[in-house]
Amino acid sequence: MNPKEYIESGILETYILGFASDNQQEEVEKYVRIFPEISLALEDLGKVINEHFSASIPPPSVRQRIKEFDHDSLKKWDFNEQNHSQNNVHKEEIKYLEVEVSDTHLRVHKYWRPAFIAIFILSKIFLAAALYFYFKSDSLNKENLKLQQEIELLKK
Amino acid sequence: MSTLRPTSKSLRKNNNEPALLLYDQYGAMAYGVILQIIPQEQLAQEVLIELFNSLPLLNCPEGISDAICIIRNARTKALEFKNRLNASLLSNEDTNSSGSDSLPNMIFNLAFKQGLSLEIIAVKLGLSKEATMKAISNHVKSFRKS
Repeated sequence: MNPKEYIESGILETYILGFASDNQQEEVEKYVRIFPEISLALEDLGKVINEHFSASIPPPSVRQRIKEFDHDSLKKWDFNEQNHSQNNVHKEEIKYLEVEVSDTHLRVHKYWRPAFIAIFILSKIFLAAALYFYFKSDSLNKENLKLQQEIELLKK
Repeated sequence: MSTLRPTSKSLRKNNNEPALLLYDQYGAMAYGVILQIIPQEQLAQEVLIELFNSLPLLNCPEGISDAICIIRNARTKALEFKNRLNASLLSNEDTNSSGSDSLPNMIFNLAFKQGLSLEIIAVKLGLSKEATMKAISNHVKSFRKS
């Protein structure tokens, strides 16, 4: 194989621009590793194409959106894409899907969680306070009764 | 060589810094490639964002530079997007190859912007596949002059 002829055949342009078949791609990738001149020609071609297509500059908002991207959402997006393509396949067969909701769970607002926790803790505090004051008043009542009995005995 | 491979781990940790580095270097080029296929700027920007956000999922073979990898993937993404949107929505004067186009330019447009395979173009135009490849090569050579 003559590297110069290979470069001039136009296969490198075909490869870079993504027109090459799988076999051609494998062939180019193999020769890039073997022949440095093919590797250099490919790099050079990459630079030429880079310069040619770099005339338009995207607005700064694009960079910001890439910066803020959440990669977890990509998985969701892929999943949705798969579902979407599957739905397209069956679109002809099923126009509408009948869905019967048999959910026994109650959905509440997220703020109910801290509210429930606060109510639970307060109820425990009030219970402890109620027990404390109950036993305290009980002991005071008993003491009061005892003192009254002692007073009556002293009067006699 | 590739900065794509080492970045993939950090990208999965919601750190898009490496993608931004690649974007700063090749964003304009990828945008240019996408605009060739999808001339609507708003849509082209959506594809551009999708491209750079999915870089860790793309396969870039050993020995191939990031620039080449991004050119190829930008075109693939743009064509996928175009097909998804239905080609009729994206009316483009350039893709309606006129008779005044030179043969290399017409072949390039059919392959690059419309995503036709070289075999189909060769059959359509009554050329050999080698002649089709050579015509694309000649068209790319004209990039150097411009």
